[in-house]
Amino acid sequence: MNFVAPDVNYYSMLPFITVLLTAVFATILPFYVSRKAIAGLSAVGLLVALAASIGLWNTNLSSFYGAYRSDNFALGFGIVLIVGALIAVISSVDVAKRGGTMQAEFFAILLYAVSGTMLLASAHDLIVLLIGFEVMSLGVYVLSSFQETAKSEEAGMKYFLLGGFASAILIFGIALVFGATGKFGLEAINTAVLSPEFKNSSIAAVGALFILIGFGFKVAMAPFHQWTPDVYTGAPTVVTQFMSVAVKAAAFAGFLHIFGLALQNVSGWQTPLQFLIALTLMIGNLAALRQSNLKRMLAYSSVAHAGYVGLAVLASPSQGFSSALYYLGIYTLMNAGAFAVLNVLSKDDDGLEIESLAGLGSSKPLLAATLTFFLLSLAGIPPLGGFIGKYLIFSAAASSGYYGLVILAALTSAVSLAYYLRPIGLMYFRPRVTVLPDFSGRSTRVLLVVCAAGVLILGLVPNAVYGLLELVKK
Amino acid sequence: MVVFVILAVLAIAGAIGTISFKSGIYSALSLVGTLLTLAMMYVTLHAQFLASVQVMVYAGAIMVLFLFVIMLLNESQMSGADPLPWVQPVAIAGGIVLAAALAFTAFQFKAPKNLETATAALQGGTPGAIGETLFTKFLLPFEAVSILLLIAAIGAVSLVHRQPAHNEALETTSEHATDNAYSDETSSNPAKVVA
Repeated sequence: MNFVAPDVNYYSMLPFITVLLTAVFATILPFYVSRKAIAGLSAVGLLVALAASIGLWNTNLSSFYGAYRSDNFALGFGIVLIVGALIAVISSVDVAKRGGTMQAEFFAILLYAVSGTMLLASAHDLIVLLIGFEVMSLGVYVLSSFQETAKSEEAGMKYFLLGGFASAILIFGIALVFGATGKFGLEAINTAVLSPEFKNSSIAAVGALFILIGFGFKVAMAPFHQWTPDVYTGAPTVVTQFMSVAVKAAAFAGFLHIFGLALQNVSGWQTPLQFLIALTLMIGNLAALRQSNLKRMLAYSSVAHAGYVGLAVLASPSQGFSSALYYLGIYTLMNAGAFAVLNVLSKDDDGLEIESLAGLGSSKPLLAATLTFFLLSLAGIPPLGGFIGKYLIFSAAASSGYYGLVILAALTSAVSLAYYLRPIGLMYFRPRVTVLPDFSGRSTRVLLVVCAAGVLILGLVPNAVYGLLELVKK
Repeated sequence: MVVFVILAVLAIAGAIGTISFKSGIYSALSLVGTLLTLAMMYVTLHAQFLASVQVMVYAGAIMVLFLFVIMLLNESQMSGADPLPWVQPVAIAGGIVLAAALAFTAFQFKAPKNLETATAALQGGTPGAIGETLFTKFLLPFEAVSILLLIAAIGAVSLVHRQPAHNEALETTSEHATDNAYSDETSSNPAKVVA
């Protein structure tokens, strides 16, 4: 037996290992130090990982024979995921003020989940990708049921059962793709599909459909979105904030990788994906119109945004990857920002009625102004970031010839103006009826201003960052 | 081929039994049947090590846990009226269509690799060959699975050890404060101020 030492390059995995080590410390240290110190430790660990990701930019390192790659795609998504987790950590500090204390394990599980999301974004191998997917999912299942309330438990249980079912379908799909090609590596699958000896196109197509269902569930695409409103509303608001940005971004990273690198030459999934996107855009936006609770409205809005980003999966990888990354970066800032405002304004984790926002503009000007910023950006109003993000994704899809879907996306995004503008109108043009609590600490106020500034900068000077992302193209 | 057909029929029968028995115990035992026939299939594929692991881990450890949980739960709780009666016929029809589609594609399968070289690489399914592959080619998934197990364990513990939500906290904080290692903040609960 001749033993070949495995190819391990720790340097390429620096951000991932940093997050993982912080998670291990956050698991052990709560026995000795206070919860606040753990929050600080988590934030510092995430910042170090952020610095490491920026330091590795353009180095294109890989490890484990290319199964783990720190290319700009993975690093860019890693930065988005770390920022999403940082926002959740900072927001969680305010939860203590309204009494719903997040116990110290919250940070450990959150960080493990982040390490799973980073693994998912960096994996170039179906098995590693699946494990990252599962680490992320398990973490979020636990976090969803973290409050001992009936609603939170229902959310966690529903997510766990349906998520387990979706994972089983995903694994079945991966097994079929492996059976058809005999490979796990994403590029190797594509090479096998293109080779003249390839004869299993129907099995690969069935496998691709199963994988599509698994990821469609995780990113909340209709008709696999039914869990989203209940889980997003029932879970603690900070967890919903993390789920709606980081889990979605990581799931899209895997989604783009599998369909852009491995299965782009397998036929049979493109038409179903178009139907899924069309359905998602219509159901997400129309259902959001009818919501009276802000948290549930944002849940349906995140379904709609899954439809917009889904267009990038259809587009050619050279344009789709970078536009999806740019969109998800902006989406992380604006959606997590909106949830952060919701978090400090609600007295418990049930969210708040949109009607009760009336008069907020005069009573809490900073919160009202930042929420206005985030909602306008989510609606895609220029010059904010959300507009540029939508523009990039729509143009990427249009240049691949999906004009009908782009028109539908533009129409539904016009419909979305109605539900995004209503809270803004209430905040500024109606007298105050209910007195809302304000749990925002200094760190949250700084966070909100930074997020709003980020949304504005990414919208005003898109070339500064998008120019860097051009490197994401292979 | 004859062996495969017998095993396949047994495995499918066990799977159907798992979902159609009303009693949880019978379902779990049918699942044991499926898992055991699967292990026998591994033996016919010259994967002896995998077969023994399948028997020990799945048919042994995991199924024992399943049976424990089923026996600990009151069985009458599980057999109530079906709250969504229309789902079952739709699910049966959908399952048959899906199974037919999968069977149809399965018959079109052409092995992507040369079977002789693949069988030679197995080295008779001994632990040595599996260990070598696991610690070289599949080292990253092998290590990453440990994160999965860790998060599952920590998640399970923290769910059992949850702090009650704010309103109930007022009644139970005093009991929790003594046994909870990090309840120094809970005892001076800000919930009291809010509530």
